[in-house]
Amino acid sequence: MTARSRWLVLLGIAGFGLGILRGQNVLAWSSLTVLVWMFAEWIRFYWRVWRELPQLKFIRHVNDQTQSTGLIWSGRMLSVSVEMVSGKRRLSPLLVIHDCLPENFELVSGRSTCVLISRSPSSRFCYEGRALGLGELTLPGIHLTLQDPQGFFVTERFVPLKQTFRVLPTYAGINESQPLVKRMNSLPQHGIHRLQRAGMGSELLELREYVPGDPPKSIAWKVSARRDMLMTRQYESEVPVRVYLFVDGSVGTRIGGFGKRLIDQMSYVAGSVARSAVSAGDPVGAILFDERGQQRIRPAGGERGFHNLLDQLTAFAVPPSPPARRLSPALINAAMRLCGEHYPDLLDPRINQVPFTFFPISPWKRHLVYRRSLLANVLAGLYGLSVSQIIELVHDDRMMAQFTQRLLSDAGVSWMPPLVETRDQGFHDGMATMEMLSTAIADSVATARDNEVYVIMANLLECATNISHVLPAIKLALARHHRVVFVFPTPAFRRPQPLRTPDPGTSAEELLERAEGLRNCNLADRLQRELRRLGAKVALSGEQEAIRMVLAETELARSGRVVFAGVR
Amino acid sequence: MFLLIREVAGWLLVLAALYLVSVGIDYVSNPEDARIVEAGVVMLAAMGILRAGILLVRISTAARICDREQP
Amino acid sequence: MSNYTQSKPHSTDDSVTAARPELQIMKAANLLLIMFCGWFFLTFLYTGAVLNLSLKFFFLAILVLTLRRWTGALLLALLQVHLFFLEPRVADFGGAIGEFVWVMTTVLLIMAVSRFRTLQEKDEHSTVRRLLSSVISGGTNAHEYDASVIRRHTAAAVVTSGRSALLLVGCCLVALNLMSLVPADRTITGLNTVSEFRLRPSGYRIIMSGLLLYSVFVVSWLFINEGVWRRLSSSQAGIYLRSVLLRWMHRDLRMLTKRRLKQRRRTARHRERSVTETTTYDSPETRHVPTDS
Repeated sequence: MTARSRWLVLLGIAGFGLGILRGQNVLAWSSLTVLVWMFAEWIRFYWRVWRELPQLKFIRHVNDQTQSTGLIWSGRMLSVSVEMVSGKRRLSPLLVIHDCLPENFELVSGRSTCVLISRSPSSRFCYEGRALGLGELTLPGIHLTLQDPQGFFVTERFVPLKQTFRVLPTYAGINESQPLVKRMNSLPQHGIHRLQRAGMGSELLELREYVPGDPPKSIAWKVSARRDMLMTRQYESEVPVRVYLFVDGSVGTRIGGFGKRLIDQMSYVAGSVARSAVSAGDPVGAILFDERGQQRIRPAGGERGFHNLLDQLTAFAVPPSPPARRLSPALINAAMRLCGEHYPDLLDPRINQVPFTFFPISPWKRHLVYRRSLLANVLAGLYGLSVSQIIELVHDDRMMAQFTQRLLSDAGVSWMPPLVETRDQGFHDGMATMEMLSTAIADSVATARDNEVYVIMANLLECATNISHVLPAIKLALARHHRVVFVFPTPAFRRPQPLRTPDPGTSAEELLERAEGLRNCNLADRLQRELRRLGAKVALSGEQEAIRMVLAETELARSGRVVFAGVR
Repeated sequence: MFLLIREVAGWLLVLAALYLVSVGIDYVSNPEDARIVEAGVVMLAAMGILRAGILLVRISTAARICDREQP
Repeated sequence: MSNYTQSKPHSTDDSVTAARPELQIMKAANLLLIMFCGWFFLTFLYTGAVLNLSLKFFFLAILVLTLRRWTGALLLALLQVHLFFLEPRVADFGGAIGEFVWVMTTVLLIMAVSRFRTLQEKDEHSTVRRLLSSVISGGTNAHEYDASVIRRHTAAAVVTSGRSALLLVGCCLVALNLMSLVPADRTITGLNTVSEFRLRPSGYRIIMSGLLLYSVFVVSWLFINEGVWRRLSSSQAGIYLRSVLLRWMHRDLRMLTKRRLKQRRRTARHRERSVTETTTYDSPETRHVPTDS
């Protein structure tokens, strides 16, 4: 019952009473007619709720598919159409149909809501959009708002129509230029590259003096004749180049809106590098590490290996349970809004009853307690909590925060306030990341073979001053002749540039932005200096230049040389 | 079975309340001998009993729905 | 930006439809109905009052503002005030045709205003603005829909309005019947009730009608609600059972929970303090250095 109908009922009762008391029959009659009419509308409305709503059927087509699960690519367009049909009867107005969209979905064209104004047997609406970040995209269902034509009665329902998609990361298609000069005498097998170490390849590494035991076939007779001593041809090795992607999934990389998280940047770089490596026939493996531990993906080549890698990256990017935070009004509000959209029928005061209490007396505080109790009941229904746990939810902030976070996280809400607190622990997070990264590199080196390329993507910018913690592991990898490339994602999605303009502007935002830029620039400089001194390559941000740098390093590894200049 | 008994009891209470309502109307329907006070008392009692009956019916219905859904 | 951290989850979708023909035609039909009812009341309202013209203007202003701002309740209140002050008190009541027309027009006006407002909420464009833009553009926007579409939707709008008017006629007659259930004859009921209970005949009529209305409402409410209640989903039923149980045991459980929480907090604080003490003892800054003295 809306405020509009409440006022009319109140006036109807008052008018009827006064009309009867004063013997004014038209007053009484008109007021009573209003009451009877409202009653008739109420019965009609209930009939619709009772008979029509349960018969509604919805079908959602995502790219012409109706399956409940599927695979999509982040950033690519999806066309969605929702069809609604009624079992036997025609659909009566007014019905607002809203396809609830998760945060990981950006509406590009069309509308996800349709209003039914006239009676019709079916209804259909279409819209287009795209998944913003990799991980998971769940279209939960349809939110219905049923209203009578006068707007006297409103009811909301949620029809679950769950479709869950794994969102694979997008990647850049890099056109690699093939060298024009002939660099090899014989064409090796796809994915096999030169390594400047003694082996059984086809390219000459060096000529050396004959040692007893060398095969006679390898004796270079002409040179031996010229030098008057037996010389042996030493050939290069031919090995595959393995690319190892180290992807950091710590808390700091998951914070932010979908598509703008650091993990999205890193996955973009990882996907692009993997695509390029697989095209060149190189096996690609990955080590995904976060607070839960590390996950090792064995190097594999071919399309199958590539898709397996993307699949694992996607699974890794699905947010785990968020870090615990304190309960705040914003968190409760967000949860209530989510419940209003996804579980409107569970918030109905006839079903979700709140016990009466005298305290608190202030109406505002009473309202807060009331909302919290409603939310506690919904959470209890969703997660199967007992009655004593409901009371605990109402009175224990920590428990309430935990379950509210779980509710929001399950609904696919991004790791932003109010779901997670704004962290001022970048340094501590970075130190933990360094610890995990060192372990991951050391483990990887221990099981590595020759000629591997380590692409390390980690959020270390915040703790650049203490980069020395991770240097032993890097030195170890370099000492084993692996190539190490660092890609540090930046929150701004762009390379920190030294600021040229002397005048920063006067607004607080401009000053803050400049301060942030300066800080990032300093940190980046320090990191680059330290790491380049060791011989590792460093790129900042997830832009194309970083990808090209990684690919250049991989190409260098494939060529079997140490540096680009051709110096062996 | 227990839920069914409870629901039947609820409906019996509802019927009793409706009977009391009709008694209340009876008290005031005769304009020459309208017993307003008695009618008020009976109607109040009817409301209480109706509430109790509806509560019983609703609880048993809800419990039956939960019971049916559980494997 | 998070959807659920904004003030409205899908705020842009509240007025979702573009200029759909059925919406515009429905609005136009209701607007016509409002104009007709408005004309009727402006003709017959406040006849005989001192400030006749001013009151009529006031009514017109409220009527126009209701389309934009308020609801039909204000119009009902205005008409009730008019009847309260200007309607003569009559002992017998037969439901004359003039009275019937008055009642019908009142309810029709409220219905049309409420419908117009509801449709307006679903429309992005205001009707007035639309008309103005059509006038400014010289009527070039007037023929943006196909004639057959307009004809079809107009027919649908007429059918819908006719059906609603029939419902209102039915409601009028039901109300008339309900009123006639209680006798209005003062000479019979007056003497007895006043002498015995100091109750006026009109008071008796109110009690009787109230009881009748209440009983009709209770019976229908009971059966409709209980019918709908059987359609509960399992999650709704679970929440209902939990919340009812919680209401019954709330005081005891709250007491126990609060006590348990207090105990837990005390334990945590104690543990925290002991950890801090250990740390401070070990830290070099606070380490006690024995002196020779």
